[in-house]
Amino acid sequence: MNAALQWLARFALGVSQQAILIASLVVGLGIIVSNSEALLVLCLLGVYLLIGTVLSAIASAELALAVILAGVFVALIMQFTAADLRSRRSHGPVGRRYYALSALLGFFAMWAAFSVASRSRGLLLPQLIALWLGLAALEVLLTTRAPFKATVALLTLIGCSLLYYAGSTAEASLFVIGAMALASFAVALAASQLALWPGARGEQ
Amino acid sequence: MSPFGSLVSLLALPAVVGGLIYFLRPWPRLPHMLAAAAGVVVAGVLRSFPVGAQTELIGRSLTLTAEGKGVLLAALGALVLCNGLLVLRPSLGLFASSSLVAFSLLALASCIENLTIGAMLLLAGGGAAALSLGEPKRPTGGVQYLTALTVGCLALAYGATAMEAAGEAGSRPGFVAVAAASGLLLGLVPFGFWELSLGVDAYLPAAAFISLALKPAALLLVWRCSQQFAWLGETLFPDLLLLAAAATVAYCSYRAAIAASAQECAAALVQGQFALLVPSLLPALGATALAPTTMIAFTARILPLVLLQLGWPSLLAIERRAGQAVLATLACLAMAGLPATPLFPVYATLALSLPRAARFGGLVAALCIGAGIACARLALNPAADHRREREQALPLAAIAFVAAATVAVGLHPQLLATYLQLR
Repeated sequence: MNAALQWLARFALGVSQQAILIASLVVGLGIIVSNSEALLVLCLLGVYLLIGTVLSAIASAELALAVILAGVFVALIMQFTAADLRSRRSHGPVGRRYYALSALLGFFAMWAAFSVASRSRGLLLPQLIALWLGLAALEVLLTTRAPFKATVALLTLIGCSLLYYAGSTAEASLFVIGAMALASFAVALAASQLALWPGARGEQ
Repeated sequence: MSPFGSLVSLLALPAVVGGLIYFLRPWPRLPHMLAAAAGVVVAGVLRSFPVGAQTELIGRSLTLTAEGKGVLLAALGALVLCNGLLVLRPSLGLFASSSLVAFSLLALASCIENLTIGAMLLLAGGGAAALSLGEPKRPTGGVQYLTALTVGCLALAYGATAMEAAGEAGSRPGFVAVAAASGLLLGLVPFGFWELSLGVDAYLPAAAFISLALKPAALLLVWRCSQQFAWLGETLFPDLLLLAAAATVAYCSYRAAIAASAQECAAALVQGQFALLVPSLLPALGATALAPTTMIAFTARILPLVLLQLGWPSLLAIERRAGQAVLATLACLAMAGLPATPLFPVYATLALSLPRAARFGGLVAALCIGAGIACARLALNPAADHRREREQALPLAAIAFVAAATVAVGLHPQLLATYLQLR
């Protein structure tokens, strides 16, 4: 365990802020635009890894490891759900309008996040990432009707609030992380059940 | 410490029992029986805990306040009643297990002093309750509910954090977040459109349990927020809540009057009923402790709501007979506060004690009008979705029992006060 913590701390120190920012942009855009369950699970895992890396730098490696472990379990739940979904139905073509609207709203979300960041000079990297990913998740919640994609957005939103909480208050304890992880598990389980209902629809 | 152990153990016990009875699903009635029994035991032991009992959970303080105890006893009453009725017509879903787990999480959320963690535990409890939503044709209501719950809880957590950081000076983003969270979690207009979908799409006992356990817990958190940050009571917050509650009651009354099915009508009336809780709470915002009347107001809704949500659609879905029509009308009027029903003494007391009682009376009258029109319409034109409602129908004897209990508690309102240990 100690080796993992040390590696995580070294990794967080070794990664530049620009790399973290670019990764958050890629992950956020992936959540907005992608309609593939596998890619969405990968993006969700990316969100948790990003949060863990940032937490390792601003809080402690123990908290970061807890977040990453919780994220891996949540992503596993969603991966099983995705596998079950794939075995039940085949994908129809997704309309170009949906992609166009998602990309447009994603652009606006990015523009809003970076406008806020440039106006408020005190905004730190964790808060900027939380703001951007949170806006991306809200954009998905506004546009999608598919339970699976909505769940990924909800879990991203919970992760962002965790990052915001850890970044803006002095209190980033294991209890808070535990409560948020518990909430993520409950939402993931409930939503995977929702996504597997026979009548669950996609954007098609 | 109580002679029965610590508060944490008691609150965690239902979750443990819920986990164990998950494995008893091959025997459909047994999980519901055990869940109801566990609820009775926990309620009995909880009543022995003194108000103000404190304990620690991983370094965080848990306190059993008078208001928290009232909310927990109301949730346990709903849990016992719903599971007890389902013994007669067991569900294939996870209701028995998930209702117990959800109760534990909501209880911890109601007792923990840190509001941010409380909001997160509320989210976890709501998620656990969502596991029992069942398998209807479309999951729209469930997805909307989860979204509203998640965004609402996160907004409440953010609001509490922002206001704590701002201190006495107050925080405008915190105020906006708490106001939005209240609307989302309590199902108030314009944030509460999810609730009608949930009422139509979800398995009926699950929708009833969410109304009776999650909403009071959310209301308690909002109220605690206003207690902790007293300046919130001097802002537009109470006026916004009142306006949203009035709009919700009017909207629900209208939706109930034009509802196409009994289930949709029941969902609208239930949502309107809980919006009526808000004006009764407003005088206590940021000032004093919740009045004992408000605690009875939480509990008095259990029997009429279960009667309405479980019984009314079932009654209208089966063949129409005179006795069923009488019970269906009683269910509707019990929600409106008919004399000899539990809500009547609550409304009478509120009418006498609220500062501007005419406004409250107007809201009750608006809901009564909607309920009356709905009752007449559905009695003349049977429910559209017969097959769906017949699937969830309870035996007539069970509904008659709940109706008799409703009248009995209405005639003896002191029974509720005794249950809540107010006298």
